[in-house]
Amino acid sequence: MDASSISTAALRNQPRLDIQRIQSELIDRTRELSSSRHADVGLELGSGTGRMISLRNEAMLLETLMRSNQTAQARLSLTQAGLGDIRENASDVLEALISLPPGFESAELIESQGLAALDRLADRLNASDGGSFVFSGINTSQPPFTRFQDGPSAAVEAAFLARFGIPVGDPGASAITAADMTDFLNNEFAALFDDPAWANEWSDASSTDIVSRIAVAERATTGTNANEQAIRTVAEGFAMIAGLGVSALSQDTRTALITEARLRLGQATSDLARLQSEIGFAQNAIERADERMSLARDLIAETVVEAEGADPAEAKVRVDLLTTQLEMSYALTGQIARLSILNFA
Amino acid sequence: MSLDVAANIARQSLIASQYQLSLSGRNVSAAADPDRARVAPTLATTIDGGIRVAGVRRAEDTAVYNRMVAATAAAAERDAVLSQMNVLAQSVGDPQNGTSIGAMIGELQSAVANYANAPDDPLFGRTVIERAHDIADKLNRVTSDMLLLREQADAEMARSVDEVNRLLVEFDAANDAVVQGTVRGTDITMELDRRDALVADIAQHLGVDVIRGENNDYALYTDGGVTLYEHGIRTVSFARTAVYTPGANGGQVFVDGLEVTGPDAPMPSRTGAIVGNAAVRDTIVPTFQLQMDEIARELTTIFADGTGSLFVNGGGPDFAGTIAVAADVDPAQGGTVENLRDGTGNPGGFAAFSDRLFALGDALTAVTTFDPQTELASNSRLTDFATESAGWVEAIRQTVTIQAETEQAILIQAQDALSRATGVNLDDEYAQQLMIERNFNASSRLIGIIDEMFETLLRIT
Repeated sequence: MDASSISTAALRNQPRLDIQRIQSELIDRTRELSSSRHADVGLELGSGTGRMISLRNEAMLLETLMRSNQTAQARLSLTQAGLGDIRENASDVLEALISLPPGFESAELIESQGLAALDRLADRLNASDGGSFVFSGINTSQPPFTRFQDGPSAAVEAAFLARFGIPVGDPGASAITAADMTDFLNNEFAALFDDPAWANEWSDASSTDIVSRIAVAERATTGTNANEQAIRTVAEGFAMIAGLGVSALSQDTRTALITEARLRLGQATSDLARLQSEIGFAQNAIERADERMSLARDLIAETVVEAEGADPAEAKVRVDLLTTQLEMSYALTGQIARLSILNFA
Repeated sequence: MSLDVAANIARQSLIASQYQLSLSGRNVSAAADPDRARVAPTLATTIDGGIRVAGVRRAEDTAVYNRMVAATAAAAERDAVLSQMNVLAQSVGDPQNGTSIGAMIGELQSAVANYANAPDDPLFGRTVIERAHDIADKLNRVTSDMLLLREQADAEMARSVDEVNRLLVEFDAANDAVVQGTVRGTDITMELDRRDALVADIAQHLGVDVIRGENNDYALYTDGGVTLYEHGIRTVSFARTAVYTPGANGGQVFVDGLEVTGPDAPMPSRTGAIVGNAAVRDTIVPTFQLQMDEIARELTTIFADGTGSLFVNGGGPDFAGTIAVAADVDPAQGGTVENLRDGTGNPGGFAAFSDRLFALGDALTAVTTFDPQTELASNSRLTDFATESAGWVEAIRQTVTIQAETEQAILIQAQDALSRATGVNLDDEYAQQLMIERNFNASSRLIGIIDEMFETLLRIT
């Protein structure tokens, strides 16, 4: 059959098929115009779809880490403030000790100041952040520090009795020599602040610090605990003046004890400052990680939009073109239908 | 030449005109039926110089027709795959909506990371359990959906086989009529139309090649070369599997006792809806299911640690269908999220014990080994494996969509070409009818004139 032949069915069908095709494309382009995304992202990207899901997962992980970093930051700030206060507490007592005049009254005063300082220390160390105790290491469900009167004082008194054969505050204590006292403080008394006595009497904290995942592959210690040497030394210094009956001692022995306490508290303030700088380091690390992650997240969002996005300007042009085409097809269908020899014969 | 002869010629012309007009009328009535071909009389000169209708010629174009049959089968195969792929792709959904298993594992990963940074907050633990529930539900649902999809494909195959058998019976009758008509020399154009239409219908279900024999006899072969019809019907058989269970294999289609679908087919068919549905049922869906099973298996393994295991499953091969959240860690089933946090570690019972949760986060992104049959990277991280699975589905859908569109375009073009070659043009028919009418008028007038001449002659004598 020659190529010039055409059947009526073929003639009438042609615009109908075109109209179907144009209409289905028109729907897709209109959707792209309103959403600025491909009408069927999966179909458009094919095997790239997996990558889009993967990128979204990554972005979600970054969001999650940034959110949990806020919690870590809050805990670190609380820790930082707590350590600051403990340091201030220690320097206050230290100052009082340096300027302490000799005599019985001042000795009684410093004893009560020591007790108050221990209470303040317990209060600070037992601070909690929304139900979890910040100085407990990973044992966040337990308050880490026992108040002096609730146990440690008894242990101190027992150690005193064992060494000197008389209870704390007994008038006979005035017979204790300065050398004896210094020896007691550096041995039996100091042992109360080392393990296992420390864990039994003073602290319920875990020595393991909280570690946080601050970025996808970066972990940092984001907390401290009451078992740190600085805390032990502070407690030791405070307990010396609060729990050994300073007022009952002879002036010489008292001076020797105050000297030891000053040494401890001086050491403690510098240890605390170091601990504070460690916490500050973690705070910095989180800030930097957050910056990096928010940059990465923005980059991912951009990539996703670029890959999944449809150009609305292009879609608009297509819609206009398709509409014109569709109108022409309609017109053509009508014209072809009218085109019959019957109208002329 | 006598007046008798002239009258005879005019009479023959009248008869021929009537025949021509009746054929043209038949063409007009066939104009709307794409299966029907245009017919035209072949005229022959009689001994006395008149004309007679010697036969009926049907417009044919074997090459175009063969192309149309092949295109029909190819388009039907891709269409069958595409319609099933569209259902399968719903399990992936738009990446924006997070409905894919890859996205859900991403959410689990985030939830675990969140819990690891606040292990003393059981609410974060509950979020992990909820995400785990989502994943287990999704994997269970996908598994049952995939079984349903295989059942549907199987049912489609059964329907196609029934249809092919029915069409073959009709074809047999049409072919017999053609052969007998050819031998007797009668007008067989209607039977030819009918037979050609039946072949195209069969091609929808199973690709066929037509071999033309003596006396217009047709022999049909599948496009793989198995005899479908040769001087008689060959049976097409298929054992239906109404309900699929995980790991079950469906029956194959046999033609003339030979397998034409499946991996063991000696001469496999390549086109037609049967082939498309078989590919979905036996290759695409099982592969996707295997990916899901591998994900379920790996998830269970990664999160396994005594009472702290997050998932349990009923063992292979149906990992995805049986995966569930373990009771020990699920508050809704009487467990506690602390079990998940601690696993078999944390003897001190510390509230902020995070070692295991960190390890889980690491394990989710550690490279492990998957079944190489999944068609995905077998050494991959679970998170990547799961998202890649979505890419795998969409890649197939994309390819099949493009191929289906191409095949459809080829089919439309072939149908158009065939319609142009063999179809009816109404305007042309009407123009011819006018000519026939004029012819008829002239012949009638001639008879009148001859009659008058006889009258004159008779009156003179």
